Amino acid sequence: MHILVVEDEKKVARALRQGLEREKYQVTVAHTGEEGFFLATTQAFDLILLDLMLPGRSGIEILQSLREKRCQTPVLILTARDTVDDRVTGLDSGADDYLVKPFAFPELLARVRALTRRGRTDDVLRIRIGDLEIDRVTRRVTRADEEVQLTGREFELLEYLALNHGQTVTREMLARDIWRAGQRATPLDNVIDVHITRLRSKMDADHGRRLLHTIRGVGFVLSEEEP
Amino acid sequence: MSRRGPGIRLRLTLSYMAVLLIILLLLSIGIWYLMRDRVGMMVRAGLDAGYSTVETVIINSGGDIFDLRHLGDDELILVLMNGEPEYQTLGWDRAGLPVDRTGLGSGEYAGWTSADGRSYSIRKGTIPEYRYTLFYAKETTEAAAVPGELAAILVIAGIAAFALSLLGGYFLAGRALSPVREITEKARDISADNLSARLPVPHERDEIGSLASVFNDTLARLEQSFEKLRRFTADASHELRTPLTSIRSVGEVALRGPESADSYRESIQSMLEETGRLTRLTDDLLMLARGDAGSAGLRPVPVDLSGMVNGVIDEMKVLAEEKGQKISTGLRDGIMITADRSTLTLAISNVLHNAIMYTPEGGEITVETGISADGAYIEIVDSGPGIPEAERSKVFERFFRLDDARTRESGGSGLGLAIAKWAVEAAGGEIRFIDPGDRGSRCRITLRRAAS
Repeated sequence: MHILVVEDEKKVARALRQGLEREKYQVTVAHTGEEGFFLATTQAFDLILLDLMLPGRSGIEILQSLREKRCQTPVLILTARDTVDDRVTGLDSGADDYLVKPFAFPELLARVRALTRRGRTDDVLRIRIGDLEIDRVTRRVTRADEEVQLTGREFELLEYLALNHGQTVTREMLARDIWRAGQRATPLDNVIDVHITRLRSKMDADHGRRLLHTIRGVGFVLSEEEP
Repeated sequence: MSRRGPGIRLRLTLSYMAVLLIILLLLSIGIWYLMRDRVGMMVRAGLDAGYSTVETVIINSGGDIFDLRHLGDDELILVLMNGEPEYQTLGWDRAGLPVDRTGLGSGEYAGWTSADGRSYSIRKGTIPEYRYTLFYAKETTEAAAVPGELAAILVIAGIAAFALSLLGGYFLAGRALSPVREITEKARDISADNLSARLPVPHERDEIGSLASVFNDTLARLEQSFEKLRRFTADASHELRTPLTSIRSVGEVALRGPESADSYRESIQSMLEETGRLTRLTDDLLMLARGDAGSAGLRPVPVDLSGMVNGVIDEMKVLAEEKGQKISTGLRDGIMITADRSTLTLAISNVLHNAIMYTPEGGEITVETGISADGAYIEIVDSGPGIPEAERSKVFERFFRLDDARTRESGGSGLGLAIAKWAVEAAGGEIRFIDPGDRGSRCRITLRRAAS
């Protein structure tokens, strides 16, 4: 998997390169719009991460030129501009997704995964993590063959964590994907924490090995190993 | 010097002067014509009287024109018979008046100017029974000079009056505008640093006085908002610097010496927590800043109020359950309002979140919706410690905290109610804390009902 990162802020570019390389992606960094456009049109990439505020040509211009040249590489916009109009402009110009800075790295990874697997269907109907089994059709959950009674919300939460198992899930991701909240707010963060606590007490209590872990300052992860 | 002050003064004076000039001109022209006519009438009346005397003398003497001698030589008389001079006085000759005035018809008047510049008026008539043509003249040099002299007087007097009025007008306009200048000077000195200064109010009831009063009211409001802004800046810098300080010191301390991986991990997590707090704060502040700039981006749609409130309660009730609290509801069906769904949801959940936080364990929270004369309303009543009456409007100010000792841990960003107020007002509604009765606090949100 080869990812092109177009980002003029050196620190952010370096963090992106390191973070993505740790996930086994091959990364090329361009620090200006022209360089990014040149690389994108001369090499084959699986994904482009594009900053909008670049010196020289703006990200939107580059995106439009790429799409005019029939370059179909998925593009994920990274920007600090987050009004609805900005998002609409970005997506209308041919972007596939839009992530607002400052973003949580696990969320970036989740979106990168989503964009690079687009077109492939690997619907999993039954997820198994250690002795935890989730049946997505009957919405039944068992832990060591013992049924775990979950509310609807708790099931959605567990399902989401399981689909991203081994990967950190942030509160932002949960607020957006499970609660479908337009804005993130303090009350919702507290609500998410309560649901996580309850889910943990139902599925992790009385079982030797903990599966649902909290990554302080980042979010949660469902994993057999200690993070 | 300000350029506007003298500008108005000059313009005012000039427009007065223009009006005055027109009045003076019309008046002078009127007087001149009137006087000229009067003088002409008097001259003609004198001529007519003299003429009648001469005519009477001729008729009484039975056509003997030599009786005219009794009238004296100074009279100016010419008598023609069949166009030939029959008689003329010595005065007529001395004045050098013409003897051939056949151009005049009967009963007409004529003017004549002699070679030495004297003016004469002539009255002509006929006495048919003796076939005389009679000319009677009078010297009118003085009368003829009257219109010219009058014109000169009018012009000189007009110019003098005009000049005096100009000076007077300029002076009076300056005096009338002097409070404006005073206010201008004073207002120029008022800046962000001395907003408590006020403008002088010369006479409360006149135009300038009310202008100054209005200015002073504006200054008072400006002072208030500056004060709010000052407090906000102080609070915001505190709220922003606290997490920054934590991040920095945790990072610096961690770098000081080789530590275990767990310890580094602990430091990084702590820094990320503070980053999260900072991010949230920035988001909230940006939301409010956008709200200040207008309600662009909001999409008002018809919303079922009780349905929305029910949704918020469903979401939040886990928090109440954790504290063993009971949320009782009295929701009325079928209340439709118009609002941006997402921001109003945020407003209601912020208020409800506050109620849950302030209500002690095992307490009760009541949420009601209904219709009153003002429109639709939501009331959220908690059984917490309540808000002193004097503080009830302040709780919506940014970063306002009722209890200064309260830590950020339990208090959130301090922007929740400010955001709620913005969201409710963007929907055209009103939010305030009212008399809670025997409960802790009672928050009432009033909203406009959708036109059905």
